Amino acid sequence: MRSYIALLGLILTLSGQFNMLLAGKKHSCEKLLADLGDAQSKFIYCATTKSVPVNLCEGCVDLYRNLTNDYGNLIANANCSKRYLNSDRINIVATTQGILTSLWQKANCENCFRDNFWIVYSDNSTKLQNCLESASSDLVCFKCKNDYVSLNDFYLSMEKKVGGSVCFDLQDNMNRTRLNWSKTLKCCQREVKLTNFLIAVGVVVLLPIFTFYITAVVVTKRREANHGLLNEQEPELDAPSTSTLITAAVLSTSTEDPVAISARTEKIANVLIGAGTHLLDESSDEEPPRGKKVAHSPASDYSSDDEPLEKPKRA
Amino acid sequence: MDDRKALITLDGESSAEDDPIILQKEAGPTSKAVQDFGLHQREEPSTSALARRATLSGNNHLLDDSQPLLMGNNSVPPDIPINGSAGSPNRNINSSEPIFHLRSRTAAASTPNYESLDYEVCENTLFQDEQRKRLTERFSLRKDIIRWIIFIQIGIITALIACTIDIIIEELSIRKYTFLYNSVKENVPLSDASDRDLLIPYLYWLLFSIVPVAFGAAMVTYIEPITAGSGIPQVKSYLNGVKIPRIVRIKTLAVKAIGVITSVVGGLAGGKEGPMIHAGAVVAAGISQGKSTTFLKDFRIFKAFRDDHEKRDFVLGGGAAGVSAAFGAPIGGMLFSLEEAASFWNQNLIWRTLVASIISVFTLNIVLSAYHGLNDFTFTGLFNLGKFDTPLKFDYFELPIFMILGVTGGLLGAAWNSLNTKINKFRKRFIPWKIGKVLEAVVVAMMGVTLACLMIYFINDCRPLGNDPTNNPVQLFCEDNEYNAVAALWFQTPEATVRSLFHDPPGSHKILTLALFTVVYYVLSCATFGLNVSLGVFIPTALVGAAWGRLLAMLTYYVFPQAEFLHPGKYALIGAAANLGGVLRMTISLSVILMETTGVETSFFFPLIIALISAKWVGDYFNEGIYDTQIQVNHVPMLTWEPLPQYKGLKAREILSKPVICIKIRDSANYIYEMLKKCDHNGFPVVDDVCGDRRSEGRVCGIILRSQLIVILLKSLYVENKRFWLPETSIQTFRDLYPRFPSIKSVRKLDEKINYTVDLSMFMNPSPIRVNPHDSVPRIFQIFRALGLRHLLVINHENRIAGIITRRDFIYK
Repeated sequence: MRSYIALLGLILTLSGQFNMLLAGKKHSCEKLLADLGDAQSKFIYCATTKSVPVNLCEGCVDLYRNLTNDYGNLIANANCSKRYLNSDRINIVATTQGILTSLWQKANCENCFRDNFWIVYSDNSTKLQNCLESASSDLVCFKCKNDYVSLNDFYLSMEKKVGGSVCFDLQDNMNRTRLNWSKTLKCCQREVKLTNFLIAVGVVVLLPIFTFYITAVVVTKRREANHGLLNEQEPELDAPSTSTLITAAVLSTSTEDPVAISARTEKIANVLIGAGTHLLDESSDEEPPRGKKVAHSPASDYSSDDEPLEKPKRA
Repeated sequence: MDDRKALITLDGESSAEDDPIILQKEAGPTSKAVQDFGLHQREEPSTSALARRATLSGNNHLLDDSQPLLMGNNSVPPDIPINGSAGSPNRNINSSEPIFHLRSRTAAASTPNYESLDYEVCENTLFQDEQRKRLTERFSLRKDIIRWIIFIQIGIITALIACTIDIIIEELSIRKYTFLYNSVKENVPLSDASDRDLLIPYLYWLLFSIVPVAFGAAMVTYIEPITAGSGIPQVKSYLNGVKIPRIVRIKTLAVKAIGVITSVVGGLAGGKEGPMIHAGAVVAAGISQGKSTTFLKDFRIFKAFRDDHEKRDFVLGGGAAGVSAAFGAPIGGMLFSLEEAASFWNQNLIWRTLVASIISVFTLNIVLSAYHGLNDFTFTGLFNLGKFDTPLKFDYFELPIFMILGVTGGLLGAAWNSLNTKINKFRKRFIPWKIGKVLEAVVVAMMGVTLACLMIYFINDCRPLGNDPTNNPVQLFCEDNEYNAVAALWFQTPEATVRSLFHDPPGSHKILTLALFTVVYYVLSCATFGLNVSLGVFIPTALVGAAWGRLLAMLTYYVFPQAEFLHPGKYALIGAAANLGGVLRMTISLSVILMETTGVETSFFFPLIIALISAKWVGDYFNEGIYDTQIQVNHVPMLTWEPLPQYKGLKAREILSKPVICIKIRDSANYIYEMLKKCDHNGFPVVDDVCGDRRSEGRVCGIILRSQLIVILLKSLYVENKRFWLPETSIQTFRDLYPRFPSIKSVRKLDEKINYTVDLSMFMNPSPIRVNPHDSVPRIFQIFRALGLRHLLVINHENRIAGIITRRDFIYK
């Protein structure tokens, strides 16, 4: 029977119906909810009032613990959690709690309480504050430098340990300290001394960069000067264009040594004469014009006629 | 010009005729005009003399003893670059002897002798036998399944290589920049410690740049020069059908990977995306072959894929997988390979490519998530530009502004391209030595470091710590709790800089900082691309664009402080898109890649496209994209999508090369041997009905490739000893030697086999693509381009060979 009731209750709750059977538990649930609301409002008050300079983690840690406790209690009670969580679209309880928790997490507050970070940091910080207050204004940089550096070093080591997510209280405090140190007190004296660097840049630019390109240009010009052709014009990296070739072909006269031509044609003529009869037998039907011409023309004439004959194909 | 036309017409008419006498008659009257051309051709007379002698001596021996000797004296080196007007002797001459080194007038196109790839499947008898055999097998789908497996493997291995490159670069860069950061921190001169000097970090920085860059440049220069640059132009040419030597070897991959790691770590202005595409292509080509010639290892798998045609598809998939791995953008990768690389594709190929891309991205996510310690596989891509926190919105009045940004990008990109081309021309002329190339890479690295260091030291741009994420907040001369924004820009890899330009909150930099940074990076990236190091151009271009986009937004905001819509990250993104469009001139894949890497909403696609398109249009008005420019500068005979305008209205007979060196269907081994030795052509028409030795007039019955002929000679596949080899010869006999076919020099002299005969009917491709001399050039260009041909035979009405058209004939100079 009990299980039936519980099952029914579950069904009814899920369907959003108000179940009179759970009325007995209602009282305690309401109390838990009220506790949570109270804790939330206190935490919010604390967080807002301690927002600048940020003192969230250290100042509100107790309230936050209460808040998580109350929320835990509410969750732990199965009936209440059923009733207040995922009850409707807006889901107020979970949303407000989520906002507050995320605020806490965004500030990396838990990292404040790891490894006594907070205590060591505040020790160092107080030391520095005391020093800053006690020292006269013209000596403050010199006197408090050690304190500042040790605080800074501690901060950096802490940053390394927590992987950059330092508790925001400390971040804020450190930022303020640094700003105070460097802007207000003007103690961060970094000197712009770049003479050596500039000399080095000059050397680098002049020697390798300029030398390299100038050498390359000079050597190439030298090399090209050895080629008479390349001296005047751009080196021909590409083959000449088709149209250039054609124009050149049309314009050019014989580039060949006439002696060579006549020597060769003479040779051909000899062959032809030697094989004269054979030629007529074999190929008279194929190339009568040539055969006849060859037979009774001087060698030079023959060459000028012959060459075009093999040329008509390509232009 | 008129003369030439007359000649061409004459030529065509005469070649259409079969009777030589007609030729003689026609040639007679025009001999005056012809003569000029003839004189230009110096080596011709000797050939003709020789040929005539052969004719006269009765034409009985084709290759008698005296002829090789004569050829040896008078023959011309086969690849004389300027034989544009190479004449062909009339047909009674070429009947006796193959005429070598014959090219059409357009053949002078390229000085480096690029060869084509054989994308045409040689469907000879052996191939058909294999196909039939496969049909009878139970698992006839096996080849398709294996193809899928290979594509998946390509995706995985490409991603693994990309991961390796990425992780090594990341680790080394973190170490380098942390060291420099600490060095700067320790060496800032303070008032009480004056012995510190900022020279030291500068020197360290120089050292950390020079050493890796010198190493990488030396490797690229001395071990494998083909790996220089981004690799995308090379892959593109390869897919277009140009054989780029050594592009897909394992050695290339190794050098490329090490080269890109060293140069990115060295801090050159470049990215690792282009090299990753090349790496993907190499992986694809390697895996699909199932063997490595370098390691002399044959795994005896994937034998069916050992030809150019199959390999091409895999390489395409590999390129896509590379892009996807580089950007974490699978769809962008696929589109990139379609838009930029692929010359031939179909539906199945796209599908497989997409799967390879997705697998690649998935693998990458797993590995990088594990490396970064994430439990869910959400680490997307190497070049993840970071998701915008707030959804990017735009108002309608911003569209003209985006367009103006696009126009700016087009102008800047065109200027970049032309400047880069000029710089590379300078390099080619003045720095031809290998050691000079290495030194130049070092010099550019030094220049970069020097400029960066000058900027960091002299611009005092201090920003409060903690507002924006900075890896190495260098304090330098700033107050405590502040960091130097200039150093924050420089002390990271270029990708990280792009990311911070996109996502840093408004007011992270001074206007002066960003302006100087833009100028410096523009010049640096221009000087870097074209160095002998393996580096991509994508990242620096995006970086420059993001910088000036952001700068424009900041300037406008400075002038009109009430303009709230000027979100600097948004304008950085648009600027990057515009600049990329101006330099690379890609639109579809770029916008998809940018969308996928930044995770912007689909509604923001429109502004991206507006910027990209206007950049592309403006840029195209001035010059071509950087990849095409590179291809042109290197004289790669790439076939464009459309025939060149100079070819409109021409006919096949006006561009063909002839006479063609042919082989009889049953020809003597000696003839083939001598011919292969003397000419370096790749395809030879197989003819029958040959009258005597006049092969160039034969009737076409097929085409045979040089590689096949060499295999025939090497394996002695002669008619006389047919019974020994016939049973075990299959198409595999020819595939085994792929892709590095031996040269003819490795064939022993045919001493006792000199009289043997080769019957080509079994080996030749019996169905070559043929066109007629009167077909229009644009038409045959389409055939050639679409089918990825290497040889296109031109035949006359009698099916006799009239000429041959190859890739060269479509390249106009």
